[in-house]
Amino acid sequence: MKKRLLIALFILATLAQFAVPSSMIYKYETVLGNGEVFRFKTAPVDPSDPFRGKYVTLSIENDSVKNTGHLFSYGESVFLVVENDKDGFAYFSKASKEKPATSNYYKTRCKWADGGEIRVQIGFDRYYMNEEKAPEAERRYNARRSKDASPSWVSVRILNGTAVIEDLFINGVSVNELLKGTR
Amino acid sequence: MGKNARGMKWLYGELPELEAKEIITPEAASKIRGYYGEIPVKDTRALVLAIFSVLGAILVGSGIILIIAHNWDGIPRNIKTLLAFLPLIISTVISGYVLLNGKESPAWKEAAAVFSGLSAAACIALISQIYNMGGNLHDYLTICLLLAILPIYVFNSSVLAAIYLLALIPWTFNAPNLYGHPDITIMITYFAFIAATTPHFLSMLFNKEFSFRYPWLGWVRSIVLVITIGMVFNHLDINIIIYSICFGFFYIVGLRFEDFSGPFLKRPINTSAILVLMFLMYAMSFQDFWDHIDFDMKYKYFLIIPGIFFIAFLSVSAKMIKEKKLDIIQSMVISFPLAVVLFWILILCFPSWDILESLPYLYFNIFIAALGILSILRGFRRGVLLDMNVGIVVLSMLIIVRFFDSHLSFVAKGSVFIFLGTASLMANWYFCKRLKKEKA
Repeated sequence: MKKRLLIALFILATLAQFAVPSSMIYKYETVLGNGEVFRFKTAPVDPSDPFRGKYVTLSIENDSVKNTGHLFSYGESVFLVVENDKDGFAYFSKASKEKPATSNYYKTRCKWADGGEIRVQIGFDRYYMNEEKAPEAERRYNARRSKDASPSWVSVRILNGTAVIEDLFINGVSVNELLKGTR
Repeated sequence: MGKNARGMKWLYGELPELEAKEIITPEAASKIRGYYGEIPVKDTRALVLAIFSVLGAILVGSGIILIIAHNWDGIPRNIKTLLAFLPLIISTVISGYVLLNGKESPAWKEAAAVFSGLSAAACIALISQIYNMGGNLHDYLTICLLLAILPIYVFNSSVLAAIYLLALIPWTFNAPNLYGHPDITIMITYFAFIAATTPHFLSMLFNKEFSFRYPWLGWVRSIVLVITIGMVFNHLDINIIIYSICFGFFYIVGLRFEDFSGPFLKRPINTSAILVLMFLMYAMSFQDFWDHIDFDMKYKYFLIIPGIFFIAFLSVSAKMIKEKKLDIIQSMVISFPLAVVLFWILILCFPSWDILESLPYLYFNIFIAALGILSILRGFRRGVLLDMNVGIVVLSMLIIVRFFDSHLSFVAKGSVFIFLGTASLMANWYFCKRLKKEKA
């Protein structure tokens, strides 16, 4: 009897262990397949995570939104409507506590707020790379930044609150193209 | 009753001589042997095997993760996603094998549980890496903790339970309430996470399994609770109430159920509670402490869980008092959380009462002094040197901390320290002399 119960619990545990990452994959693939592409201006910096490996931290330029009367506190959930400016780069046009009518919104948490502005936590602030390529990406960005005016951005697909990174562009060139041949 | 292997070994060694000198009959010796049974053999091999199995599981799991974390550029995303499941698949096969083949050794079970819990955490971390998901440690740990609960029970694993409890430290330190406003969801989730491992711990306590596993898991649990309980009540100014009630409850639970025949390190609930309560007593003996009591009633729902702990504390204490299982010092210790709650309520309800400015401060100073004196007297009466010295330490500490908020000169403070030290030495000398006299 006890062994049967343990086996049942084991099956339940295993199902949960497989279901959680599978549902994450399904969610991200849906966003990558059906979400709209937005380009967020960014600057890459190279740190590392002991388990998940090297990545470049993306310092997203437009990480704040004008406060339209809602009172937000640190850590509170916030829905941000995403739109493009005249240069084709994305920005957050509106913050609300309720789900917006459009599917082009991003759900995150408030980092800081005052009467006029809300700064938010950006979930798509990491671009994982091969451990040799991550520092090289930062070096290339820093080397060409002063003489080259072309911007760096991250292309992100957004659908119903979730944002998934598609590619990182350094000085206008896809990072994978830029670092081809780097080992 | 727990078997004392060292004591039994000594007794069994003495029996033949006692028989030979006809102090006891061979029947009595045989009855003694029959009563105590076999000397329990500490199977250190099983312990070493369990430790190395767990270390092995951690190393293999981490190795696989690091290899995948290399982020192989050439591999397409779907293959990388499948590879992320590799540690989880291996751990499932191993755990299934351990469970279905009825492997009862702790080495197998602990290793299977740890590998299972860590590989699920690793799989989620790798999926986050593949899809470039940012790092919110609090949310990530919430999922990992939820997935680790069942393997703890399936494999009766104390190592996974300890890892789970330790993971609660970064979980609380990265919670959104830390820099923001009090968040009742964080508090409820925290206590739900603590409650999730409690049956595993309590089963050892109630079944009197005070072996190696119980003390060290108990200490991990106590240390995690000391560090984290206050964090979930951040910005509410009620930490002192929370710690007094919770550790008052742990004190009485430890007193009722833990094994007092062994050393104090082997009863982690009671010992850790004594340490925390003593610290709180000294903190409350400062006047400054009582000048800053405040609570915003809009957060009253945060008091529900401490309220439940308080009721549980009162129930167990009442039962112990009814059964006359408490001595005077133990009764005084359990009166401490009651006094804290009472003063806290009085100060909040009657902020204009002048007497409440100095009454709690005076009360706790007298309380600690009484505790120290009673302990010294009990030591003298029962002839227990440790009790007497604990009393001296309690009393001395009170005098020392009082110096922090006094304006006496260094000469006066120094003189009192010399007096205290001399009095302590004299008491010990007199005590030893009396013991010798009694023996003679």
